Amino acid sequence: MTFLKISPYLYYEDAGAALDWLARVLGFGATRRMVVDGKVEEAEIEVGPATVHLTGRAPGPDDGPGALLIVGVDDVDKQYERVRSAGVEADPPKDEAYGPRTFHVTDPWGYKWYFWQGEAIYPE
Amino acid sequence: MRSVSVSVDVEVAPGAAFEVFTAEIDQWYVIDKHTMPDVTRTVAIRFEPHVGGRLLDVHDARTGEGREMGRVTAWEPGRRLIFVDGRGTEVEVTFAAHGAGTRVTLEHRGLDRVPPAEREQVGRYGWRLLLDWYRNYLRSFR
Repeated sequence: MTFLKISPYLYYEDAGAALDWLARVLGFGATRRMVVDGKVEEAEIEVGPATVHLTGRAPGPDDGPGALLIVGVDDVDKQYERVRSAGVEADPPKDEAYGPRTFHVTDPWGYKWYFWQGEAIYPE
Repeated sequence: MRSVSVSVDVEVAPGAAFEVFTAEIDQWYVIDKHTMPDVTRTVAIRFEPHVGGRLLDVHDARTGEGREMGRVTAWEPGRRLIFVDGRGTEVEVTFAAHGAGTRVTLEHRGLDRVPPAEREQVGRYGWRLLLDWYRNYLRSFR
């Protein structure tokens, strides 16, 4: 099992403004945004080889302290076994309608680590 | 949901970005059952490059004829294009100079005319993926 990448996923009240700020002030790279009925729902900005995701919604009660850490892997089931064998509870990996096979585990301080195998696609 | 827009930054000038979006659409657009109205017959996808022209699911490689996916209502190379689909929803693609490249924005309007389940698919998955294909193609081949 190989770790492929990590993508921070950050919550902002105004993701459009945050995206513009990150590009303008910090000088990060190319952006991508999706706007629904005038509001930025989700966006991305490239930082070197990494991509930071922004969402325009507040964290919900199950979203931890406000950051979701998405880790790309080539074998999500192996990663799940590793977590379980360390004595930590997690729901088993499942194939998501939007593409990847995933599971998540919450660390003792509340940050949620979300392991992905595969990329997002059209849902069936 | 009434409208969705997606934008990406690409590293070519607006004229080239428009050209690749339109003339080279068959190179980057991913043809499958989700993206074409009649995929079992599809041999290509192409724009007729003028107002009144069609976005076509091409079924006959020889004649270039096929099924209409949209009708072009604005065609301004290097700036923008608009097409309207059979349900009356409208897609506008704009190409604006941004830094050394172009910000390409695709806005799909009139989604309140589309059934809710399909609306989610079109809005939240469709265009978002489409502009990724376009950007990845530009990065790989231009």
